[in-house]
Amino acid sequence: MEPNTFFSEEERGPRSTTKLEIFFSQSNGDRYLLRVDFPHDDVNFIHFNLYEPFRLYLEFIRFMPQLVLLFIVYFGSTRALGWDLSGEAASVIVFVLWGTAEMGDLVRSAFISIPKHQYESSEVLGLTKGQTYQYIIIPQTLRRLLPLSINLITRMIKTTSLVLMIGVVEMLKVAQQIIEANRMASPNAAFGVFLVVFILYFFACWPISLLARYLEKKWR
Amino acid sequence: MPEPLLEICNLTKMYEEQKILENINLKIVQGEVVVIVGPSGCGKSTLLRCINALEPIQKGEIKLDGEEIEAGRKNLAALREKIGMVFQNYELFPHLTVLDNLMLAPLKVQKRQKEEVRAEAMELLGRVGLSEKAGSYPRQLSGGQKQRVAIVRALCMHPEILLFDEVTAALDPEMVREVLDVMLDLAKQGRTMIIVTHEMQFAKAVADRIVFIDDGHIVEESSPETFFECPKSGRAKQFLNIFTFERV
Repeated sequence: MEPNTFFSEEERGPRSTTKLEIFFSQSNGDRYLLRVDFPHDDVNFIHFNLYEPFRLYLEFIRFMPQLVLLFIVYFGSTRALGWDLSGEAASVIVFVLWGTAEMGDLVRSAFISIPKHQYESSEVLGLTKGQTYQYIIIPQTLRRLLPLSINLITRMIKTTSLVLMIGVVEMLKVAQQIIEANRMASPNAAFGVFLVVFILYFFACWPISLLARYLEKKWR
Repeated sequence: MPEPLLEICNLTKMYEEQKILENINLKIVQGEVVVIVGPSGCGKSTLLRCINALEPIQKGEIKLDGEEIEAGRKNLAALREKIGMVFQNYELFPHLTVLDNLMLAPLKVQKRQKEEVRAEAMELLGRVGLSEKAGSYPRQLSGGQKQRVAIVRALCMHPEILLFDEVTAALDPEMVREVLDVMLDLAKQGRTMIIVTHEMQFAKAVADRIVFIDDGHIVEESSPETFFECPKSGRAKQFLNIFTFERV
């Protein structure tokens, strides 16, 4: 918790309201925080700074190889907490945690890369804070976000192949099973089967990258 | 003396403990062109930013039409509509076409009719010689063209006073001229303007009054003739000498 020195009385709004606000601060560079204000008898406003916990989460997820994350959730958590978790559920949890962390970081970096004078020149034209975000900041953020997020999405699609390591039957596993089952009949099937796998991955990622290229051209 | 349009009284601006501007008093009447000159870092740009409440001030007051301008006030947006500002760095919105850049604020802030705004924007663009660039994006324009669009964008809001913060400082010499010509034209139309510039010849030509600021204080305030021919203060003499060269 931090003392609330960021906002003037007027910006904070009337004391009777409880509000939840996520904002990206320009003034202190790379930190973002989640703010919960609610009235209290002695303390006017309680102010949670969730910057540190979020950062810890982000760094942890980013430094861990995805395979290790899968192992931690699938083997580690089931053992530690004694619950029953299917491989699919564990995969979903890991991909949600990973995607959220990385995407959040991309959004943050896109947001703070918008130069300060964009805010100022919008402000001096008389636009309100809301209008500034609606017409100036968010459209520009989305444009900057596009190539980064496409990169992330395709990376995530390709990384799904790792879930076979915790026993989830996915595309690569099925391919292996086909090869194994027909080892006697057609011993050289591996090449063809993996080629099909390649094509399937390609068709999963290609439309996304086409869409990205289209949007990039349209938004240039 | 007519009622001043803009009135600055005892303005003091501090960053932390450091005084950037101290005890600034300035009155500007309708139709007056005031040029602020002074060495880098003397507080000229900060003064303009204070007038627009981009910087909070610690002491004193700034009044436009008798209404106080102060950061965090409810009617600040309404007051800012009356103040047009153009910055040193081209700050057009890169994701919008030139025409959309011009029309955004009149449509969204002033809620004016689209057709009327478009007609006005096109007319003003024509006046600065950029009609054919209406559909272009800022990145397709040269620095000088961007600054001219930025000036037109400020004009579209029908401001009562225009602030120019070293608008030519980031431009190639050849492009400086086209921007300054637009500003001279505005002066001829009787616009009220405050200009911060390092272009002394231009200052001489456009100014009704020169304000020389050094180290956060107004050191000298005089007509351009007096200021450039025989400045009263030693500091101003010294400053003006920077712009003349001795034959080697």
